[in-house]
Amino acid sequence: MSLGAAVGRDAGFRLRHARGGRAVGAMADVELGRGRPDDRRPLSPHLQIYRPTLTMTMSIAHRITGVVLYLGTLLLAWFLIAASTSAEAFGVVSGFLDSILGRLILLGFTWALYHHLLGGIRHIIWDSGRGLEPREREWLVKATLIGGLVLTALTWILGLYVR
Amino acid sequence: MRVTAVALVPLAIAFVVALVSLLGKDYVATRTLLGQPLPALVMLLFILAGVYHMKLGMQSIIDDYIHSPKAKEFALRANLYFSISIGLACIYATLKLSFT
Repeated sequence: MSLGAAVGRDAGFRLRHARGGRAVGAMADVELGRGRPDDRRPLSPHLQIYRPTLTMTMSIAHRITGVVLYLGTLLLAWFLIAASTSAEAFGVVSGFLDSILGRLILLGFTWALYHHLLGGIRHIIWDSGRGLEPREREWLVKATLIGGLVLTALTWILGLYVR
Repeated sequence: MRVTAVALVPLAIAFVVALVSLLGKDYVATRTLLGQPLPALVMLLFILAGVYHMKLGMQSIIDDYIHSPKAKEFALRANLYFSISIGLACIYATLKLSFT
């Protein structure tokens, strides 16, 4: 076990055992071959044993919100087709969107859109070679995370107020 | 991907503004707003850029996570057909709102 920890640390991997001792034993069992001493070498670490970082989590969130928006186009298509078809068809969509479930879904899509939008701007900034220092990138990630929530709240306060 | 992403920043904001102003509007008011040239044009640009952007995005997700050649081929085709269909449906409906 201590061998696994030592090898992992020596190799410079940001392993989960940086946080606690329990994962160390499990990792050592998986990572080290149980044969002759020569076979007992660390294998390449998988994504699951990296300590999750904020930038990594946000990268995954960017993809998930992207997929959510992808599916959200179905709702947009339904809305536009209904509005261009008849008052009855429109009534069905707007009835759904006015329900609590519909409102929650719209709220979710609003947040997903802002989150993905700000994430995209962040990636454009990173692609230009700026904001990549540890403190800068953590700041950027937090700014986009909070920004998405704030913009969503502002939009809905405005939307419900204008109504 | 980058080109559509940059284009989508103002378009998505305009889209949300339009949605907010549509909140709680009835059939006639919705048709009146979406039937005007500027909102219709913004909507069409948003759909075009959005559909192309999401097709490219889903493609890179498929490339990253689906490794069997057959499944990948199927997923890529499904992505293409879905994107084209949804794009055409939205464009058709938006145009119909302007011209009827």
